[in-house]
This record gives sequence, structure tokens and C-alpha cells, in this order.
Amino acid sequence: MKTEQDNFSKLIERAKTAKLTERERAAIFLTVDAYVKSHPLSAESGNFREKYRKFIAVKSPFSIPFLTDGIRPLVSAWHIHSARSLVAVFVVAVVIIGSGTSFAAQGSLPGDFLYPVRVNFNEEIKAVFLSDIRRPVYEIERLKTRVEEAKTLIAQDRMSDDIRNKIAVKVNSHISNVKKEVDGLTKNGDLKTAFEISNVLETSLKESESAISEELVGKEDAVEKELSSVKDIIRESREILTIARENAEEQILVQQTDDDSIKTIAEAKRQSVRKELDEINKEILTRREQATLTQDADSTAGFIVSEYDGVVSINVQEPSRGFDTELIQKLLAQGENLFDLGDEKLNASDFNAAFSFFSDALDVTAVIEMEMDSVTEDFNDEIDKIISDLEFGEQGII
Amino acid sequence: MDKEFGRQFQDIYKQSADAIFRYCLLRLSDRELARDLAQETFMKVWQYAQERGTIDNLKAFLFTTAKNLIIDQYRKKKTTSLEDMLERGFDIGVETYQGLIDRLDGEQALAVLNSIPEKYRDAIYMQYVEGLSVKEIASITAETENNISVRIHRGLQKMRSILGERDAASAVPEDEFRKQSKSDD
Repeated sequence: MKTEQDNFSKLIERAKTAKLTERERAAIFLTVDAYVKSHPLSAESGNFREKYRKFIAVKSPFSIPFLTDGIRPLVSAWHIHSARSLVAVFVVAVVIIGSGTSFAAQGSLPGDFLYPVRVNFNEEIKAVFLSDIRRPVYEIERLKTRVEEAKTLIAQDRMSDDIRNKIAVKVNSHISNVKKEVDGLTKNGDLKTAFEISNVLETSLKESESAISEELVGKEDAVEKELSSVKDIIRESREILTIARENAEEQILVQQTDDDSIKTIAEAKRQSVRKELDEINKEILTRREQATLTQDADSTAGFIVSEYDGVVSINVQEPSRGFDTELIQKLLAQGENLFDLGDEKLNASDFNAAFSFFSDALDVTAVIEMEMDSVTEDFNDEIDKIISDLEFGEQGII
Repeated sequence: MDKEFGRQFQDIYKQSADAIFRYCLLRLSDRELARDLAQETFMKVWQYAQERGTIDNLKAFLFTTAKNLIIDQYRKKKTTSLEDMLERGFDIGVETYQGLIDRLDGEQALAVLNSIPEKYRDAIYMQYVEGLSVKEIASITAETENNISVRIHRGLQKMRSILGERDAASAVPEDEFRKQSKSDD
């Protein structure tokens, strides 16, 4: 009896394993999707919503997952979630290009009528067909697009509180999606991929931050303020990725999953340290050059003061006051030494030790940056004081 | 409310795509054909919903639609699963079912189930593989619930006796199973 039961149960269990492959599922979904789109439920007769409500067990696929600004996307969460794991780039092109509305929405900005179509339909449908690894990368691309949109609006003087909030919400949504994907990888034990993705994306956002920092130079106060808030948004997003990256690192080290993963995080740490040390060296050189340039001018504390027609103006090109060179140099030497020790361990395939040395080197670079930043702040305070004196009394010129 | 509609339909699709495909595969033993019919099933259901607007039990409705499409297909081309398998070189031989079942993949297991006589097959398949209730199966097959219960019971007995007797080194050929089934009519 037991044998009969086992055989029959086994047969049933085997039969249950017959399933559609992902590709087959995608093909069916897309065909049905196209059919559904070409045969929408009619809104003409009677109450449109009422007709939906009659549809008891099966509801319209044209339901609205994101009701934003009164624009109904042409596809619902059904489309998005059902096909989430599928890759079908050519179909994405057909879907997007085939829809006049979505195509027209492509160039829209926050506040434009078609913007929600672009963000909630065009971009979302593209995300549906991406792999688990490609999707977080795409979400960061979307995040950076939001940043570019914000910059465009600032340049066109079209930024408002409402739009700023909407952009912030969208950016938050993108980074949440990335975090979700990375957390999913971590949970599934794919720590190396989780680390690699969060590391790469963190670096990408850091570059965006740096780019905005450079753009801030010489801007009017109002524009500088807006751009600074955009930079803050990126920084917050980057910090979320930093946490995800550090989490993956920690788990790799704690679990000692495999040499390959530990080697990956050690090499990534090495790259970060090298980059930081090089930037510090470059900054020191820049400041020295600035100090040299301004020495000959009628300058005070490293900036140029000039007078024309009774009006005094102060031009600050780079903070050029010297800092505690000796301390900085000592710290830099320490950082380079730790870096070399890390390299030695890496070459000896002692990846745990290498990671440890590189982490220490990174801590040292953080200390150097704090020291240099505090110098910059002191110097800026000094400039502000001088300007204030000029404006309000001591020299009584402006 | 609209969000919920979308979610429900999404859930139904996710839950049912494999089941409908599997049922088509059981009946047709042709993967490509099964895929086409599964696709057509969902489209037909949407078409019905568009025209009538009300579907009480969607899962049962999906199976009913698939079944009707399969019948249409049968009119064009009749398939016998085990015969096809044998033609393709799948040799059952004299080995026990134990050994046989261990070697089956999903499609082959469905082919074995398809060898069960029709009046038992759907009922057993729908209950044991797809987890449908007697009520749902009755609705799909247009039979009474009592009939379905009896068929499941008898069909199961026969399946078990065949599978058990094979392992007791007493082979019961497929046609013997069919003979036993006919005697129950």
C-alpha cells in the first residue's frame, strides 16, 4: 500500500513540475497584453467604474497603480509585476514607440502634463523587462535623470516647492527600489553581487555629487541654494548605498563565504583608497599653487583685494591659506604606508588582511579630509568677517 | 479600487498561467500547441469579460475555456500520449513504476497521467495536480459533483492498483487498465 501511495504521489509531484519557461511566459504575456490593449473595456456605455466593479473575479488590467496628476498610465501593475523578471528589449521598443502618448512624453519635465506618463509608464515598462542585476543600475540611471531634470528646471527658473518635493519623492522611490534589489540579493546569499552593485552605484552617485559641486562654483545665491539641495538629495541616496555596500562587506567578512568574494571587496577597497589618496594629493598641490599665485597680489590671507572707482571688491578663487602642512603630510604618509601593506597582502592572497589594511587607510584619508575641510571653513569664516567689516563699518567703503 | 483590480488580475495571471499551460500539455502532449492554447485561453477570457463583464469563478472559467479549445484542437488532430512517447523511443519495458516515475520529467509524468481513461483523467488531474475542488471540477466538466467524487475515487483506486501491481512484479499493461475501466461503465 505504501508503495502505491508513494508512486502515485511521486507521479503527481512530477507532473506539477511541468511549467512554462520564463521565455514562454514572457511570450504569452506579451501577446495577451497586446490583445488586452487593443480591446480595452469600453468607457462609453454607462458608468465606467461601475462596469469595472461588475467584473468580480477578473478586474481590468487597465487599473491604475500610480494615479499621479490625473494621468492614467496605459499599463497597470499587472503588466509590471507579472513580467518583472523577463528580458524582452525589442518588445519594450515596440510598446514604447507604438504608443503616441508615451512617445510624446519623452521630453517632458516635472510639472509638464505628460511627465507622469514618462515616469510612470515609459520608464516603468522599461524596468519590467530587466534582469535582477540590470534593474538596480537602471534605477540609478532614472535617479540621475531626476537630478538632470532638477538642474534643467533650476536653469530655467521653473523650480517650485511642489516640484522639488515631487522630485525628492521620485528619487527616494528609485533608491528604495535599488535598496530592495540589493537587499534581495543579500538575503539570497549572493553577497558578492550585492556588494558589486552597491559599490558601483555608490561610486556613480559620488561622481554626480562631485559634478554638482563643481557646478556650484560661481553661481548666484538662489541657484546655488537649489543646486545644493539637489546635491543633498544625491548624497542621501548615496549614503543608502553606502549602508548596503557596507552591509554586504560585513556579511562577506563575517561569513567568510568564499575567497573570491573577499578578494572582490578587498580590491574594491583598494580602488577607493587609491582614489582618495590621489585626490588628497591633488588638492594639496592645488592649494599650494593658489597660495603661490596670490602671493604677489595685494592680498590678505590668500585672496585678492582690489579697488576701482572707490569700490573695493574681493575675489576669492580658491581658499589659499596654508594649513598645518606637517600634520597633513604625516597623515598622508601613514595612509600610503597602510595602502602599501594592503597591496602586499593582496599579492600574497591574504584578502582578509588586505581588506583590513585598506579599511584603515581609508579611515586615515577621512581624517585628512576633515582636517583640510576645517581649514577651509576657518578660511571662509575669515573672508566673511572681512567682507562684513567692509560692508558695515570698519573700512566704510561699500 | 482600481489598484485592487489590477492587483487581483495580476495575481490570477501569476497563479494560473502554469496551471492552464499544464492542463493543455496534459491533453495535447505538444508543448508548442499547449503554449498557444494557454495564450488563447487568457485572451478568450478577456474577450468574454469585455463582452459580459461578469465571471464568478475565474479559475474554473479558465479551465473550461481551455478545455473547449482543446476539444476544438482534438477535432483537428488526435493525440495519444503514451503512444507518442513510445514512438519517440520512451520504452516503459518491464521495469517497475518506481524506476519509471523516478526517471520522468514533468512533461512525461503528464503523458503518463494522460493515459488514464478520459472520464477519470480530468477529475484526478484537476484535483491532485491543480488542487481544484470537486465543485470547480464539476463546473468545468459539466458533470454533477457526485459523479466527480465517484470518478475521483474509482480512478484513484485503479491508478494505485496499477502502480502497486507493477512494483509487485506483476505488469498490468495499459490496455488492461482500460479494460478494467470499461467494466465499470
